[in-house]
Amino acid sequence: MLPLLLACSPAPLDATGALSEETFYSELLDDDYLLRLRVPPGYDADTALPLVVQLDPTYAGLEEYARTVGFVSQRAAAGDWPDAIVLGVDYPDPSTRHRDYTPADEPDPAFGDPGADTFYRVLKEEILPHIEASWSVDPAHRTIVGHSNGGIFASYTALRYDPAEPTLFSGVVAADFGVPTALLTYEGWLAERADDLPLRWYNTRAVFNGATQQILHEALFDRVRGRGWPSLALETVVLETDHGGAVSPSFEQGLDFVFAGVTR
Amino acid sequence: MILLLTAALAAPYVGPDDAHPVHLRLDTAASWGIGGQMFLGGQVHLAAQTPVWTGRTASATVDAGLQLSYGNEATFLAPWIDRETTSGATHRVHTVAVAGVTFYAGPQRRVSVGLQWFAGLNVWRSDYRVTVDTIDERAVVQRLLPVTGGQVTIAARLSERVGVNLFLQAPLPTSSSYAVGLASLGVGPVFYLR
Repeated sequence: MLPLLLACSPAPLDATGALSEETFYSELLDDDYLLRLRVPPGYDADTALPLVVQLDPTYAGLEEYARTVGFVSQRAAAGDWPDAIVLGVDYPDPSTRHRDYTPADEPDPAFGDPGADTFYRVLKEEILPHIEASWSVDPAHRTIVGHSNGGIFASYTALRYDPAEPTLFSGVVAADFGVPTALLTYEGWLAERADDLPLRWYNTRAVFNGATQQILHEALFDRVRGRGWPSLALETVVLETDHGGAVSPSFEQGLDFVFAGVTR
Repeated sequence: MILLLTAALAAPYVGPDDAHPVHLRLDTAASWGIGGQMFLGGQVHLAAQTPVWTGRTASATVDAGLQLSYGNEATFLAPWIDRETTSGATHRVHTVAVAGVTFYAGPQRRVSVGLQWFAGLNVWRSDYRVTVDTIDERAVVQRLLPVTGGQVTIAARLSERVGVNLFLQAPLPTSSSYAVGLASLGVGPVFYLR
């Protein structure tokens, strides 16, 4: 089925800038990541740029990193978006995502579970500091983009906001994901510790995933809306497509939404 | 049904009857397929067949007919769905016109292979209830979509009136395969009505 979906998907747009890859060792997980990086043409170390973190860069042939790099390259060249550094957090074996993206069925209030809790620490304490030590990134404008389980993790990062700490991501694009009940738990915990959520959060779901996804998405985002967090810009969109067809429109529309909040 | 089949099988076989310019054939089948997930269902296909060629050992008909298919994506067919919290199913109904050709060959031309194209309407209905956390909600999502595609039907005539057919069907991806289905196959009795 996937080749059929891919056959119907447009190819990624042409990339601009410098593309590179490096192997990165995580001490927290004692494992390697494969970091894919796109740096804009004319990069100037004195100008801090937005950072887009792409999950599932190459998983299942969906070319998610290439799609995001293409959108950023072309929309920035057209003057629609600010140019940005794009970081694809990949793996030597892309199926390793299953270890990292999914929260525990019964979440730990101390955020000490393996899986999403630990991967969040890997990003926050290891990968982002490593990238930002070499490249000029505006920490106020980091965006995370994920589809499917990547969308679960992207949403998880939104719900990990802690008013006592600097915001890790100010933009979240979460594309066509199932809502595990753990996200409802994290949302409840967030409401207990925060009276605001400074975030631009774009969510999609594909209509042909059916009624179950609709029920759980509406439950989560009705709760989020009901909190009345003043600094939250939240958009939820239903796409007339299916899981594979949701990738490109979610990413392009989502980044359009997120970058609307970036002053250039 | 068993009695009918037994009686039919016991009846003497009569070969192709060229007295009728139009033959009527009803193919029925239990089916299995893939849409958004696996589904089980059934299909009936009534076809009028006009002989267009008769050779020494084979013959051919041009066919036109109507087909009704139903597929049910039950939760027990999707192990990733938690049946303690989720109940319901996705339903898919095809109502299509079918046209094609069928070749008859073999001893007394009992074996046939049909190549057909179908086109019509597809109803896709996702109907579930979720009871988890503080959620207890039911939702229905439904779409009416055009569907078209091809199918191959192989049949063996066991007696004058009854045989068995096997079909393989695949819609074109004109819409999401979750909605119109990806492919299905089925097997069941075929009734030669005239």
